[in-house]
Amino acid sequence: MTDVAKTDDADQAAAKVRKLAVPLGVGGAVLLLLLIGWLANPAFLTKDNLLQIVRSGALIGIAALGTTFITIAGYYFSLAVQQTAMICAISFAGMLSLGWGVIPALLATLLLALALGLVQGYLVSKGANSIVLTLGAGVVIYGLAAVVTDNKVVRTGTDIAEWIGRARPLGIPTQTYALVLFTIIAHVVLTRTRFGRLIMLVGSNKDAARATGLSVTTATLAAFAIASVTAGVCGIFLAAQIGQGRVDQFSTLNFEVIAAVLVAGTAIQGGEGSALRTTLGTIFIALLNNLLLLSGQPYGIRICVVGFCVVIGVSIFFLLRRRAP
Amino acid sequence: MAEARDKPFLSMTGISKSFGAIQALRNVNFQLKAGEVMALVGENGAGKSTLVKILTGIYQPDSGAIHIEKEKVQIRRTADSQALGIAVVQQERSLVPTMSVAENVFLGSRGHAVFLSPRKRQELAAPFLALVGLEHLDPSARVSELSVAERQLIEVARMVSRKARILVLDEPTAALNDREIERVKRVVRSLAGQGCSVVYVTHHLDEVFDLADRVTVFRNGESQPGMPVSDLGPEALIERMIGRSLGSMFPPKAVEFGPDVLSVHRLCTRELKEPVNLSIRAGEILGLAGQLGSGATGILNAVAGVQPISGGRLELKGEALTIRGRADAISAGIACCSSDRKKDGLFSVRTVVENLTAPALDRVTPRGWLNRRTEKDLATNLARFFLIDVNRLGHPAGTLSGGNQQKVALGKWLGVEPVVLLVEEPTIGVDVGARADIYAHLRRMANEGMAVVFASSDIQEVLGLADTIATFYHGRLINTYPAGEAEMTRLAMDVTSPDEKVEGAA
Repeated sequence: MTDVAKTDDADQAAAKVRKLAVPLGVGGAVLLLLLIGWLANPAFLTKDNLLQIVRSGALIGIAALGTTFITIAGYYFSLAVQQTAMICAISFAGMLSLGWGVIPALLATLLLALALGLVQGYLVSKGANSIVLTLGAGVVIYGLAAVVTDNKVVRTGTDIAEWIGRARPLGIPTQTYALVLFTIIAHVVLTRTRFGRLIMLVGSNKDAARATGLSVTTATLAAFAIASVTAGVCGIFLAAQIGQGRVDQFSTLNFEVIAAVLVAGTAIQGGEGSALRTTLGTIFIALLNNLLLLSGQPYGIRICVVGFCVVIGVSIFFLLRRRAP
Repeated sequence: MAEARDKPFLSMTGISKSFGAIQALRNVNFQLKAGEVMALVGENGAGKSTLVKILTGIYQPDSGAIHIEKEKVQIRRTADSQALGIAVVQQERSLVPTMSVAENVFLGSRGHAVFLSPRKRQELAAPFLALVGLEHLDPSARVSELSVAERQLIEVARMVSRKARILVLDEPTAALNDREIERVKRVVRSLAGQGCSVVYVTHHLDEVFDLADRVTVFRNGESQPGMPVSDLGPEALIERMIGRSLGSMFPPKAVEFGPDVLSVHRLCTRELKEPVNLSIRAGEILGLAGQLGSGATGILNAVAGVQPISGGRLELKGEALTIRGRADAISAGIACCSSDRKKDGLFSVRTVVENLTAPALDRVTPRGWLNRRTEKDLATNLARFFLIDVNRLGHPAGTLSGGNQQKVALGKWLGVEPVVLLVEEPTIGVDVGARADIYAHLRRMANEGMAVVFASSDIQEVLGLADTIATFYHGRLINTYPAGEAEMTRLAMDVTSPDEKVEGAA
């Protein structure tokens, strides 16, 4: 009897350790990078550089938070994130250049993103494979954007939206505020709402969700809509920041977003994941990039190292999960 | 010949195997003589399949030894098993539907020319097809065009083509009709006549008496010595299988019932060949007995809204009920617990709390916001009622034992306060110890006023648990009995060969 109690206690302790292992691991990695950066380069641990790091990671982070919903819902990820962000940048810039106000242009662009997400979500809920479908959707969006813009840069032609991309209230870039806000919203939605629970359960087992009377369609539509809208927000931020949109913007965003989600231990098979971890993953990758940049590494090396970290991270989390009983 | 028959050919001694905390096999001994047909029987989870998988090389025993013709052998992978002349026809079909019959016959064979012309391969396949009575088949036909029985026989031909000395058939007749079963039996007899030893795993006791020379009974991971079938009667065999009186396993039956809760009138489903009428009262447990393909589970699925209803009508508490999908049934108060927990009963990576509250999600998320206290209270209450360890509420449901998983899969429905609970194979994959628990819970739910309907292929279970029993065979409702009037042999006949009984009675 006491033996059983003991193993049960040990069991629970082990379960707790495993539960904490993922956030502690990623948090530890972030701290380690900060330490290495501080030792290696005096320019690294300065306020300006840190703000720069978070700002550069913020757009990736926002899109990654949206993609987290797709991953949790059991649909891996979207391969149309960068194309959605790009077409939204073009749309926003184009509307401003046509003399639209900031608010109408913003809303219209977000509606476009929402529509794109809902269409993809609908097709996936009808049984399309999410990877194949978003791959195709991305190519279609890219092609459309190329035709509409004739491959030319679309300039906003006005600076009325510039504050969205460049303002620094209290010395902190707007993108950083947005990342924090989106992280909190996503975290609360995932952990405190009916919808968050629904998406976790659907991602964990769709057949069981159906048998339990939960709507898989709702979860699917919403996950793709959220991911698409956050990608649209990225596009708007960039268009506002650099005053233009063009088809070859965001050319590596799909990978960066997937890397941010996976490196922090959100399970690719769905049913598990956390907004906080996605943001932590984003910051980890941004730190790593910045550190490599400061030490003068070329782009090839940087992307190589980030890719390597994703592989290592995913493997470690896989092993951790497999060891769990 | 007699001499060869008496010498143990395959001998497995002291075999133990555990999976985590679950001991699947405990010091098992199994002897097989040359040229004999040995039946392997036992309840679900008794260890039959584990033994077969050890023989196949899929599992490694934790301890014990295997001898073939007095020589100690190691079976580390399926290739070793094949090399020793062991061929296993698995429960799961393993043919490639898009390939030809001939290609499938030689699928996975070793020591076989890789490049063969289709014609040559077809010539080589012909004798094996003839051996299993499929000489009429075109060896170049695609397997996808064949019937289930033909596919099953091709599996056998495939194993025979490997010049097997030991042929293991794991429930080969589960999906077959009587005529097809006869064919399988004929093949088994002729192979045994040619000196091949056959291990025949089955749930059908009539096949044991019809086909086997000896029988080995498994119970709760332990084996009993092989016995000549001629020394046993059906009742003695069943006693050995369950190893206890039915009384200690099952809760007492209901003494009184409430009004009719659910009735189905002239219900038609895909599997039913004749419309079915049934009704169930509050506080009653109705058991639908039938083998795979009998139509019993189809009725549950139709009422649950999982499978379309092709005709007939439903009445719930005297009012007409239309069910178009799962959500309709749930909102009408019809809960359904499927037999395949892993597939659609459990959210394995989510916690026990989240699993228990999933059907009642609206209750724990008033106005869309999760109320953790309500959630915890509901989950704790359900866990207490079902004797699930409250300390494990925060663990992923997939880490619980089979019995506890089943309690979660069942218990979660109590949160929506259903009027009807449908349960498909209530104790599949549940070890014997936890079964009595599940039965007691089902009875408690009925005592709370719920109408419980379960479908099962296990006749002892139906006989022991149900207040009213309906027997099904090949899409037909054969008989209904109040619990007091049902008896083992009649039920067994109803679900395996009711037509003979009718002839006998006439």
